[in-house]
Amino acid sequence: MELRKDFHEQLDELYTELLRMGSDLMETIEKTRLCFLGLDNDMADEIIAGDDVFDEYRDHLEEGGLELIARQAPVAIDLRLIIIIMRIASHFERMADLCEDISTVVKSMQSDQIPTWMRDSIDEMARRANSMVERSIDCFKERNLELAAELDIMDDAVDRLNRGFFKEFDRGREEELDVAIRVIMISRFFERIADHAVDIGEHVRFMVEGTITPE
Amino acid sequence: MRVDVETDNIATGRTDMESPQVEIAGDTCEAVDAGINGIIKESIEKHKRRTAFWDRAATIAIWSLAFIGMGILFFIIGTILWRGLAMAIQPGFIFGKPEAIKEGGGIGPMVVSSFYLAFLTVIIVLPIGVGAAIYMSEFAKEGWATRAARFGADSLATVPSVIFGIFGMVLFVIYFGLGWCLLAGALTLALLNLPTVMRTTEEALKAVPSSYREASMGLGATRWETVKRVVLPSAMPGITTGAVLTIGRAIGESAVVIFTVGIFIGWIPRTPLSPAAPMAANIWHWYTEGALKADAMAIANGEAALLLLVVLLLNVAARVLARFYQKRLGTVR
Amino acid sequence: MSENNLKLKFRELDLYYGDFKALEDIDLDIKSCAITAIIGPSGCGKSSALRCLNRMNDLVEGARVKGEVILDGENIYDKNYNVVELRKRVGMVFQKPNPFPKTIYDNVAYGPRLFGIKNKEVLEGIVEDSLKRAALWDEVKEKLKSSALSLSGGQQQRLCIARVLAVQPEVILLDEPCSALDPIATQRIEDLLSELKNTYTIVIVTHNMQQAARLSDYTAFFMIEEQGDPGKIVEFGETDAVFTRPEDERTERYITGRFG
Repeated sequence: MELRKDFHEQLDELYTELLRMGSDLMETIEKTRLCFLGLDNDMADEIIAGDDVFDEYRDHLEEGGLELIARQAPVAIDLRLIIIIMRIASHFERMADLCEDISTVVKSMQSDQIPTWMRDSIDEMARRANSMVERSIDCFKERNLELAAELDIMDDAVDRLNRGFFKEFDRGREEELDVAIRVIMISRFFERIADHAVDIGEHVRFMVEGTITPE
Repeated sequence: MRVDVETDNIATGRTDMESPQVEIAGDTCEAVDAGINGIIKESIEKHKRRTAFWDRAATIAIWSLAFIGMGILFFIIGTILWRGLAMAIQPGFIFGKPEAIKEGGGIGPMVVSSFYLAFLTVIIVLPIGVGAAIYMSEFAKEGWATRAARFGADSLATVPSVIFGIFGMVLFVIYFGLGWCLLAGALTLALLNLPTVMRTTEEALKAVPSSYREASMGLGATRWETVKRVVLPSAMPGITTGAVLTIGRAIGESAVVIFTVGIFIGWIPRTPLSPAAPMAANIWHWYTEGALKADAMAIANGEAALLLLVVLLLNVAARVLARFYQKRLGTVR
Repeated sequence: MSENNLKLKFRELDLYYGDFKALEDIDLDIKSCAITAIIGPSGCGKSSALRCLNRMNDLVEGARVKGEVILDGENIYDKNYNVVELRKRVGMVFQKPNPFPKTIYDNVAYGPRLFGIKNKEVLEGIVEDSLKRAALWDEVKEKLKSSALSLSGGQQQRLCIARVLAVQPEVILLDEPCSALDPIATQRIEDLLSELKNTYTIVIVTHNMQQAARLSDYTAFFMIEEQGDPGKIVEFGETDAVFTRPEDERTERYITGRFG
C-alpha cells in the first residue's frame, strides 16, 4: 500500500528539477568552453544573461526543500536527500556564476592572440571539469560512492593543469602578460568548478552514510 | 555504512493511473455522475412523500398509546385516592388502634408491620444479594459455576409469589417453628427479592468502567481494595435502586405475607418473632373477611390509599437518592 | 549502555496470551531519568510490552511470561516479588484519562490513603505537591473538592499523572497518553514529561512518530512480520540517530511512512 503519495510526488519533482539544473549546467559549461576557444562575444553575452536561469533554479529548489521540511517532517533518508538537493543546487548555482565570470573575461580578450599551449590547456581543463560535473551527477543518481572517490582523482588532474600555468609563466615572456593574466583567471575558474564537483560527491556520501564526517 | 533503500519512489517512471469516468458538473470541482444522481434524486422525492405519511401515522399511534397508558394509570391512582384519601391522611387513622368489629379505629399496627417487615427483609437480602453479586462480578472466574448461579437466580425470579408464600410457610413457619411472624415473612421475602437484588447489583457493578479498576490496580491496590474504594461507591446509584425496589416490593407484597406473617392484628408488633399484619395483607382481609365490621370497606379504602401514597413516596425517594449519588460521583451536574 | 544507570531491563522476554505468542525475545534496556519511546505499527505488542513492566498483564486471563524483567537488579516476575510494591514504584497513565468519580482531592489522595496515610496535613501536603509536579495546581487549587470529571480532557490526564506521582514512583509508564487530547493539551503534557524526566524514568508508548522524535531520548521500534506473529524489537537506539540514520531498513521504511 503506497503511503504519503503527495510527499513522494513532491520529492520526485524536486529531484528531477535538480537533474534538469545539472543537465543545463553541463550544457553551459560546454558552451563556455567553446566561447573561450572562439573568443565568441555573442556567446559570452548569452552565457552571462543565462545565469539568471540558474539563480531561479536554486531559489526554487531551496523553497521547495524548505516547504517539504516544514510541512512533511521528513526523517532519515528523506531528510538527508532533501538537504543535499538544496546544497547541490547551491553548488550548481555557484558553478554557473563561474561560467558567467569566465565569459566576462573572454569578452575582454577579443583581440588577443592566445598561445596554442594555453588554449589547449584550458580546453583540457574545461573538458575535464564538465566530465567531473557529469560524474558527480551520476554519483548522485546512483548513490555510488566509488564515483565520489573517482572525483577526487579527477580533481588532482585539473589541479595539475591549473598549477601548470604558473610554472610556465615563470619562464616569463613580457608581451604575453595581459593575455596570461586573463588566462590564469579562467584557469582558476575552471579549477573551482572542479572543486565544486568534488564537494557534490561529499554530499552524496553524507546522504548514503548518514554521518557528518566519514566513518 | 550503506543503507539500501528502494529507489523506486524517487526514480522517474511512475505508472500512470487511469482517471475514473466522471462528468464534470459546470465549473465546480465536483464530479457528479448524471445518471446515478438522477435516479437518487427521483427516489428521494418519492421517498419523501411516503415517509411523511408513515412518520405522522407512527407519531399519532405512539402518542395515543402513551396517553392511554397514562390515562389508565391516573385512573387507577385517582380512583383509589378518591375513595380513601380523606381517611388515609387522618392521623387518628394512621396511628390509631384497629377495631376488629366495632366501627372506626385505625391501622397503626399495620403501618408499623409494613415498615418493620420491609426493614427486616432489606437487612437480610442486601448483604447476601450484594455480596453474591460482588463475588460473581469481581472475583470469580467466569465458568460453569457462575453461569449456574445466575441461571438459578433468574429461574427463582420467575416463580409466582404465591408459591414462595406456601414454601415459606412450610419451611419457616411450620418446619423451623417460627410461627406466623415478621421474621418468617422477611426470610421468605428475602428469597423472593434475592434475584432482583443480585441482578441490579451486578448490572450496577458491570456499569462501572473497567478503566477505574485498571487505574486503581495500577496504583497498587488489591482487588478487594479496588472494589471497596472505587467500584462499590461508583455502583451505589444502581445498588440503592435495587434496595429501594426491594423495600417497595416488601411493602406491597400480599401473597407471601398472607402465608407467613398474618392479616390482622390488634397491637403493634414488638419483635421479629411477633405476629403482624402488614397493610397489603390487611387490605385483603378487610375485603374478604371483614363482613363483621360495618365500615370494613371504608377502612380498606383508606388503607389502600395510604399504601399507594407510601409506595409513591418510596419511588420518589429512590430517584432522589440515585440522583444524590450521581451528583456526588460527578456523573450528573 | 553502562549498567549503573539502567533502571529497567527486559531480558529475553516472551509473552503469551493463552496459546498466542504476543512478544518474542524482547531485550531492552531502559535508562533511568530519561524518556524511552516505544513505536511501531498497530498490533505489534507495544502496549503489551509496556504492561509487562508493572505486571498489569497479570490481570488478563491466560497471560504468562517467560524470561525476566529486571527492576534495579531484581526480577519482578519472581514468585516472591511484591506486586503491590511494584505498582507503587512503577506507575501507569492510560490512553483515555480515567480519573475516579470522586473529588480532585480524593483522586490524588487515593494512592497515599491506600498505603495507610491518614493524617490530614500530610495528605494535603502530598496532594499539593503532586498537583504542582503535574503542572495542574494553579488551575485546580480553588476547587479541590469539586468532581474530577468536571475537568477538561487535558486536565484530567494531568490529574491522572498527579495521582501516580502521589505515591512517589520511580518509573512512570504512559500508554499513548495524548491520543485522546487536542494538540495544545498534548503539547502541555509533552512539556510536563520533559520536566519530569529529570526526576523519574519514563517509558512512553506512542503511535505518533513526531511525538517520539520530539520527546524521547531513546526509541525502540517494535514490529510484527505478519498478522499473528509475535512482536519483536527491530531497532533500539538514541532517538536522534534512529530518526536521522536508522540502522535497520525496516525502521527506515516505517518512520519515513513507506509502510503503515
